[in-house]
Amino acid sequence: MLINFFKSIFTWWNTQTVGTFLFTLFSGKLVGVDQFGNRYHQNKDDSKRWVIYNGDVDSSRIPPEWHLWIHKTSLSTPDKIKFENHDWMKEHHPNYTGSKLAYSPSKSKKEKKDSYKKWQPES
Amino acid sequence: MPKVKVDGVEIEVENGTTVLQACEIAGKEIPRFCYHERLSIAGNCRMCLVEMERSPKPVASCAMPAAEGQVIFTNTEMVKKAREGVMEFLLINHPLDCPICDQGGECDLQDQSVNYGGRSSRYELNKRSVKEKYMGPLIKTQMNRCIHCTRCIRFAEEIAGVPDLGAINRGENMEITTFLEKTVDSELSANVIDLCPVGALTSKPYAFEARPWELTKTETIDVMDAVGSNIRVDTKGWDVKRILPRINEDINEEWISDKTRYACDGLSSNRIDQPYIKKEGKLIPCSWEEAFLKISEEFKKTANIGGLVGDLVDLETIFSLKNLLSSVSGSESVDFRQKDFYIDPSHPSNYLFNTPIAEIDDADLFLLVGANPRLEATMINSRIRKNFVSKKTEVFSIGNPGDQTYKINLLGDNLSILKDIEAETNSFADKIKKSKRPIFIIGESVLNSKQGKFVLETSKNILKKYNALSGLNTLHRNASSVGALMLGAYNTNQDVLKNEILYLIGADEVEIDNKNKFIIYQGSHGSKNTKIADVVLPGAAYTEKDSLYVNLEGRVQAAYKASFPPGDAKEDWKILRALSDVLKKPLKFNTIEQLRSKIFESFSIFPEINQLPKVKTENLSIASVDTLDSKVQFTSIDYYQTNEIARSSKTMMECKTAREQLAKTGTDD
Repeated sequence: MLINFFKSIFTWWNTQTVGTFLFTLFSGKLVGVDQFGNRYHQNKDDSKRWVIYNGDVDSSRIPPEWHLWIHKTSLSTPDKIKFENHDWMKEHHPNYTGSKLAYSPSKSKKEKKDSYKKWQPES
Repeated sequence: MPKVKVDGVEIEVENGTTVLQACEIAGKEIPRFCYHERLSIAGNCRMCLVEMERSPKPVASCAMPAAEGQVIFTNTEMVKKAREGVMEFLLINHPLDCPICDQGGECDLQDQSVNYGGRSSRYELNKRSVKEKYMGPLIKTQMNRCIHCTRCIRFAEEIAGVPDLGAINRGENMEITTFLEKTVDSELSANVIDLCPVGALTSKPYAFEARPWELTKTETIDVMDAVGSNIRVDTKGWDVKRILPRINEDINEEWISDKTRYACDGLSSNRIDQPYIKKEGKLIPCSWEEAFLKISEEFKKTANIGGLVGDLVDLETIFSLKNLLSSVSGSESVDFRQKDFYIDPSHPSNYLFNTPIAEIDDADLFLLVGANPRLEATMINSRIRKNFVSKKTEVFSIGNPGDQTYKINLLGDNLSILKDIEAETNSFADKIKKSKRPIFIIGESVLNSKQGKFVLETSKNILKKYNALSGLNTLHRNASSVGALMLGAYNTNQDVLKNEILYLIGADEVEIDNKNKFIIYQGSHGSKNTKIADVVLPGAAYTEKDSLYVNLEGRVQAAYKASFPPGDAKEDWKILRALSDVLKKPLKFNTIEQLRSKIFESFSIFPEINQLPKVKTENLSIASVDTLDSKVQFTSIDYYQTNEIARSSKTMMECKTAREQLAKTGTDD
């Protein structure tokens, strides 16, 4: 707990900074929480919208519904809009570039060592 | 010795030097496409233009002999403009397909167009298109890309000695072709791929496999024949993608044979990658421990153990096996001879190729005794041909080896001719009397128990008479033979195959009767002897281990690890070292450095790496033998299938089929 408190003072990449915390405390209004626990705020006259991440500060963690809201593409929060849920839609995930989960085509990933033909005693 | 001035620097060059060579000596790089050091001068690409004082036009430096007082400029505006003009003409009919061209990244045209290429083409008509040609299973053609440097034609004619390539039509319509759409009938054919300055002739098996900058290059030694050509192995990950020649003036100059170059795809098929043990007549995969325990059980039963090493085995492995078996059984019955083979190891000169390969160029008479150098040692044959072409040296032969790409004067096929020569009743004796440096090449075909002694001793007698004993040469076929002989891995008293336990290392040629025998097979590739083995241990192929090989001259050369053995396979000497621990008779080395220093300590005959052994032929003992009336019988050589790696290679199989097709006539089935 204490380490998280210090982290919030000295780093910007662990949830909110002290400035954001104070700004949210005094002029922020919570408008919603997404499925990942990120909390979305706006100020009184809706001139500012912001998010406090649940975890790493990474803008690609915002799911598409909230992406619309936070970029002011839609005026109302996602819970007031009816989204169609198709079976081909995948669960949102952040951009994995640079992480272990990053996508790489199967060709280059494949260990070349398997590319030889074994001798078979029966043949 | 003319003195020429290149860009203000005066240099003295030898007579017969061209202006291009003079510029090279002065340290100026001249762009070129058609000029090649080892080929005749064609002078048809015009890329090497330089300015010369008192010459109204730029001159093609490759074809202009250097003369006294020439003043040459290589970096003037005129030179640059002239070369840019040449380049623009070359690029008119050259497709801009570098992104899909296999030569991309190592293309002379690409490199030189960086310096001399224009920004865009001013040519507005359609580019010329040329039909693809068939040149066999190795050479892929894209004749649109051809710039008509004629290097390939000159190579085929001058070095390979097969006039299979040529040009038809003239000017813009000129096409390089094999005339009859047939396979190039040469063992050196794939060298035209290296020679081609553009992507017109590329490698078929390597097509679209990799880009040159992705490859890891390892400079190593070839083991397909006993010559020990210097090669560069290009690997991508585990795969050996291609093999290229490395320049070594003492051995292979800058050529390699097709087998050396293309047997490498055999490295990724038919691999033994785990130990096997025979249970109820079937080979079952097992762990290293199980295999070693089984061997140690069997070793306890009898001390009657023999070792047989195959044709691709390195010095370290032979040495380790010899030491292991002598510590276990007390006897030294390790042999390298998989067939009837006469050896006289009393003096190294009896089995070495005593003339250094580079000195074949100085010879003035050749006698082949039951040797077929074209198939047995292709690089040596290209040296003989080089000598034949430049000096018109006469080549004689006892026994007809077939087409050697140069003229052969047949003396007959009875070995008694040798005795006639010794008695000076044969006319060949006059030739050898006049000759200063005669060379006798004795092939393995006559080195059998019946004829070997007669051939060797009579040849020595003849050469001794004319004081030319250094011209006594034995032409070995296998990369391991000379190394094994120098290590003493032979037993002339006893046949190794009679032992109750046989330890085979890559010995896949010999026929073994496996009744009541326990057979251990260690090797990289499966073969007929792997199937009859009771324990199979996976070893490493020649590109997968650091090892030493001795070529037929006795030159020790180091091969380096380019890739690693597949699966559970290990380097061969490490397997023997680990086995010696299980047998509680540990070998006294732990690293390859210790092993090598042990070899060099125990056998003073081994020279430094890359040096020739200091063997003197003067004190060679010569026995007199009775005349032998016996004909030369050539043992058949299936050139593309001589060892297990080549036999596993798809490309080699294709080559074999293509050459068989070539030999057929229209009326054959």
